[in-house]
Amino acid sequence: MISFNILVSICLVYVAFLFGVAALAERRAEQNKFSFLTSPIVYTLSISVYCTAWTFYGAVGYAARSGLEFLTIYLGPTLVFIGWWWLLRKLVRIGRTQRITSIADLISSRYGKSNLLGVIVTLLAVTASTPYIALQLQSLTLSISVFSEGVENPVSPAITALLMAAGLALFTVIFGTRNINANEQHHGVVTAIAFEAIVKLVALLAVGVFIVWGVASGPSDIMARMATRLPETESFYSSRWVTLVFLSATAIICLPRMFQIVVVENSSERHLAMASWAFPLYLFLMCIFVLPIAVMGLELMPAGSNPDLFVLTLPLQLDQQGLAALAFLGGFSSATSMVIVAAIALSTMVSNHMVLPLWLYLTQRRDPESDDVRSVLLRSRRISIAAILALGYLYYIFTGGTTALASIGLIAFVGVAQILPAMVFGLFWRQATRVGAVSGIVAGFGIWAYTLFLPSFDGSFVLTRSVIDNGLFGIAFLRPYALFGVTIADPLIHALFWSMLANTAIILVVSLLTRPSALERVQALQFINVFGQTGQSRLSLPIVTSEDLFILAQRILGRKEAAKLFEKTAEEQGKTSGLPEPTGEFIERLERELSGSVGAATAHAMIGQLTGGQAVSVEELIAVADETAQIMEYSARLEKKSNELTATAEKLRRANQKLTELSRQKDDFLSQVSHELRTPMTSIRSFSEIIRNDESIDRERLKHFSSIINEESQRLTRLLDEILDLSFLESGRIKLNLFTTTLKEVIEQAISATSVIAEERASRILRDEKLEAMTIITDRDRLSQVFINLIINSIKYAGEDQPVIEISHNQLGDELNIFISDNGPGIPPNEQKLIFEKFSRLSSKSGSQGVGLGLPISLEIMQNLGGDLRCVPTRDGAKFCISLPLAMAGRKRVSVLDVGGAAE
Amino acid sequence: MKDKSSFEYSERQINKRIKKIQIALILPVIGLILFLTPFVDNFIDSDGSNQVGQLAVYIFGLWALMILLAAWLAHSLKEELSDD
Repeated sequence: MISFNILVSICLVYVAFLFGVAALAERRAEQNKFSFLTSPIVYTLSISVYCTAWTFYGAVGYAARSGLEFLTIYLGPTLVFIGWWWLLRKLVRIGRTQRITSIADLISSRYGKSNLLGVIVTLLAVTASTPYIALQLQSLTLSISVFSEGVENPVSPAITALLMAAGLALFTVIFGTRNINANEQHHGVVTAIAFEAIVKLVALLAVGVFIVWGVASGPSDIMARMATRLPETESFYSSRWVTLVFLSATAIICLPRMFQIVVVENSSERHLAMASWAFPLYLFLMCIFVLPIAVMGLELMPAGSNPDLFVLTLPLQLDQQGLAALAFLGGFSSATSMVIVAAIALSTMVSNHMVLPLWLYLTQRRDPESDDVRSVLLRSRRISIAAILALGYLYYIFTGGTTALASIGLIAFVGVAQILPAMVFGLFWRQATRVGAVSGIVAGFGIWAYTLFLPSFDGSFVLTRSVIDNGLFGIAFLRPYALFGVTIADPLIHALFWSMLANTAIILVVSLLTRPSALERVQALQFINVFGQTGQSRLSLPIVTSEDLFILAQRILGRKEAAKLFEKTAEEQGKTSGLPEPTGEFIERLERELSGSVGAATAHAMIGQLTGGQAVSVEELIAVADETAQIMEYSARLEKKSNELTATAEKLRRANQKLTELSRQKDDFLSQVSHELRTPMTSIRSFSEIIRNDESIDRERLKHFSSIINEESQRLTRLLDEILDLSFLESGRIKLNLFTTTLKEVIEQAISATSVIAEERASRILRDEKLEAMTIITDRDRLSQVFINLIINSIKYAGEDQPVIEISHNQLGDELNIFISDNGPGIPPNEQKLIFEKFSRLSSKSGSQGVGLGLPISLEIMQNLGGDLRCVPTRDGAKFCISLPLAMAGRKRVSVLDVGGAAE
Repeated sequence: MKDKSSFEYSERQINKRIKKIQIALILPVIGLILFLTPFVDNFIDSDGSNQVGQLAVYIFGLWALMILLAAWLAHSLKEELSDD
């Protein structure tokens, strides 16, 4: 026989392997490698969590005691899965569209997000699951005790159960509460469960094959032995048979762990299609060898052996140690997988429907911080898992381990069946109300507890033996096993009959007597018409406070943006202070605003969470808010960067434009300069040719031609000088000779230089004595050059009239403005800037004399002197303003130029 | 060759689909009746002896048949489901 120590070692290695499988699956999920994790095979195998130790060990015991009746536990689920088109398809679709996280969430969500219902269903589920978990611990302890027979000082069953419970709690905490998932899916756990499903199937098949062909002489031999060994099965139509098929069909939908696997962990509706036949096939295979094992166990095992352990004891009796170890692992897998998934499902319900609402209620005055909510959720789930296992352990200790595993499982089945009426009415009957559902479930729950659950403790818990026998307060009418005087021999049928009758009848009657709230109506429509939903329309109901909306909005949009939106809306609503009214219009508007940040679907769901239009779990809402806040921050940074880039791009664009313009100007310049050079050059060449070739030319003409050549050469020289001058000014390489001088000296120098041309046109220059008395530091010659240019321009463009040029000034702070105006035709407004462009004049006023570089040169000179030159718009004539900063005059350039000057 | 663009072809496909859905809805009801039927006893219980073996064959046979039908239906109706 395998020693106890080897068995423990096998267990530990197996558990370590399971940890490895779960960890690997989690890692693949983190890397988004979902192909295997979300395959229909894994989904189908994980549904086999339905087959617990009750199936693995209990089915054989059940068959040995009651013949074919054990099959009812598997026929019910088979019918539900084969009829998936009726109910499971709808449940899965609702689960996916409404983001349902548990069966309590489903019921709560359907009946107007009633947290009361969530709490009731959670309490019911925890209460009903406790015996079931105890059953698993019991089967584990029993199976281990088989191997510890004959061992000196064997570990007591209580200690074994405690160690098992602790180990399972640890595994569940590690892989069931690693993080708060948006969709409550646990890839690690599900993959480990799928693996365990294979182990238990292989183990049971191996034992079966060995029994049928290794011990008996094949199926016909087994068939022959059946008639003598197995008890006769009652009619197919017996009340117990029907009850059990109904109960097991209910359990596959209503058990929290089954709902978790079938609905919550479902990642595609198509997986359900495969599960619809593959899961019944799995059940079929699990059951096919139950009868042979039971028959041979009854025949070969000593009288008084526990038939619940035939799967394990029969190979041991036949000295098949390896097979026994495999069978033990199969049973171990069955029990552990059930406990793990049940603990996850129940802890999610406890934390979401009990702990978190309570915590939010207690901390509602505080400024909400998301991280603390997440940590509260995780912590509460971990504690819930430990508490649920502790409850299972306590139940096991209390009941002292019932001999028949099946009875405990059936008690749990009847308990969770109380959820069925509310669920079915919720999915198919629009009129079903929250009050009706609460009343029905509470009534059914109460009757179940009174007629089945509490009496199962046999007088040791709450109900005394006397109450069980004589009824509450000695009233025979209230006897738990014969309620209202109705005697049904089977307590299970009795309890199911009364609880379901009361439950269903009360939901029906109360729902008809009460009216569903607006939110319940909306939810009812979404559940009942789940296949007809377009997802486009949602009734926005003003059942939410503006504070709630503001908290949500500021967590998504940021305080500033949210405040702006709310203030604006309040203003539009005519409110002078406070938050706006949460009207449907405003809610829709807010949803649109949020859509910009989190996308339409999420915004829809988030608003739906507040208004009851959509079902999103609290943690999902918070997680989304957090992620969005991060995204918003990141987005803000990106936006800032993007703005900077846009600004830089704009600068570059302008620089490029400028360069293009400069390039164009350069081309124009070269073209114009060539043209300007060509004219005098042509003239010089022509006259020089005449002089050279015409020997008979008289002296008078020779002199005339020579003077033309001379004038044209001078014009060429002037042009080249000006170009050179401009080039120097532009590059800043010009040398300024800064001295203190009066403006009189500057102006007189200019008038003197222009006297010839002024006299030719009989020009009049009106001077400003006050101005001329002022003293400045400047380059007299250069400043004078500017005056000369402006005076010559005024005379040149004066037209037919006598040119009158007026020099005036004003002083604004440290700035001295000198105006030179004339009585000419003036400069059109669109050309007032153009005239300072270096070559623009060349193109626009080609008819005029000179090369037209005068104004650009003057502007460059003024800028080099620290001042400015601009054209002032006037009604008559042209007016130029020479600006000179008195305090700063020439200062900027002085230091640089002094250095430059000193170096030269 | 079937002309897949013809009206008759489309109509046949639609009718087939409706029939499959109807079978999917009726199958569990048939299963329920056959698993719970009261006259199975009369059919099997002919000589008054323990008929566990025969009943087991009946149930497992029916079960296997249901699984086969469900597999065929699941394969046919897979396209009706959303795959997201």
